[in-house]
Amino acid sequence: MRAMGKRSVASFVAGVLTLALYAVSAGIALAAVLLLLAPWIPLPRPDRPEGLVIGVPAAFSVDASRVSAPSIDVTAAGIRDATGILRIPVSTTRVYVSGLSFALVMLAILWIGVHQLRKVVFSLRDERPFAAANAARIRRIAYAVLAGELLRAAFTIGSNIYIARHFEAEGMSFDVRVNMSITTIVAALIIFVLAEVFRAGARLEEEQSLTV
Amino acid sequence: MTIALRIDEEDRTVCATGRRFVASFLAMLLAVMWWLMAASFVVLGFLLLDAPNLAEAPSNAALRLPVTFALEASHVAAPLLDVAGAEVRAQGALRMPVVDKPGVLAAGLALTMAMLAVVWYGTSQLRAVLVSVRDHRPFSADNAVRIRRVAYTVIASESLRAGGAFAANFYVAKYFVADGVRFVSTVGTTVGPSIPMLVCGLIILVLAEVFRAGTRLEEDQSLTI
Repeated sequence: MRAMGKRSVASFVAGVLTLALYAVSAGIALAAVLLLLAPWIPLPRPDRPEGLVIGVPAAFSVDASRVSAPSIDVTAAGIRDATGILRIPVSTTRVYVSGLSFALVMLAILWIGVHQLRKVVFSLRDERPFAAANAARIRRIAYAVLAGELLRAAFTIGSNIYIARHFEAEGMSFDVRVNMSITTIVAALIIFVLAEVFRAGARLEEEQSLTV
Repeated sequence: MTIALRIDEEDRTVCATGRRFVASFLAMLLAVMWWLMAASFVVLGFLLLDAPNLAEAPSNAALRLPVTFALEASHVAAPLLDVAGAEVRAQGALRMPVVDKPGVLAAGLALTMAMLAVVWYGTSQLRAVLVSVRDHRPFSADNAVRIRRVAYTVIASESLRAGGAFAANFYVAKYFVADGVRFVSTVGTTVGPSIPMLVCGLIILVLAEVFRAGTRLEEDQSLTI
């Protein structure tokens, strides 16, 4: 299978990224409309869980005494380092607006990253890998990855603190964890290096175009 | 003369802004990871050989199995905020004692070693690419092949991880029970291969071709008098 050109891997990835870009754009539009309509949206009563809910990242452990496997003679297993999404009813405008604002910022960062990546992949599909703009685009992708990860980690810590302070559950303990992905940070640094490789390629191509 | 001067200036810029530092730092980081993974692989190999004895001896030996589960809404509440019922969908690690279970211990160790071997191979290839970039040879002839191998590694490790996670989730859902916790084992958004990761693998495959194009350009230029 060809990697670059028409009907290649690059062409397929460009299609996937186009779909992703439309989905993210629709998400941004929806979040913006819901944010603008915030004062008029009726919120459910706090004691009624049905209706509008918001997903908040939570970190917790489950007591060993609660987990067992009688058929294979395991009596004291435990769930550690669990992370999940706590779905809580949105009962105040402050929670509603802050949740939507964060989602909007994250979607905007994602949109920038996907938009730039799509342009790079389109240039690969058109067999122009060393187009002059590609180095700058890849650098922007690296910044988007870094910014997205830092923001996600900050939000996760914030929501972990909020949940640990306000929520309780039988047999569970909510924790506050610094959940920054080192792999993502390293990936962002690799993308920075990749941008320099594209710059070197563009320079080579430019020099060759000047050769008679 | 003009071209030579410009390249020299850019090299100085590279040093000043730390671009070379990034490649150098990453190469060093990957070298450390490479050695750590090699050491872990050897330790796991010894543990695998000794699995029958290890499982029989009274010890705190335990496996950590990836699990996906849902917590019942009635168990989670925030009285201060007047929230009576919240639901948690979660992933975590189930710590399972392996005393008298040499088969389970051996299977867990073997799967971890297979994952480690794939990641180790990918890291060694990526490290070789970064070393060549650090040494100002980004379009060296071997890099396209190395990057292609990195792409295959990403796809293989993600498939292996998803397969292992599915097996572990299936095992836990079949045998384990917990009050207020429902273990999930169906393939879906939480149990299954990560689509972004697979797309990343495909993008890296395309990048390998970009490096090949760069190598060709450099070869052409080296032939120009």
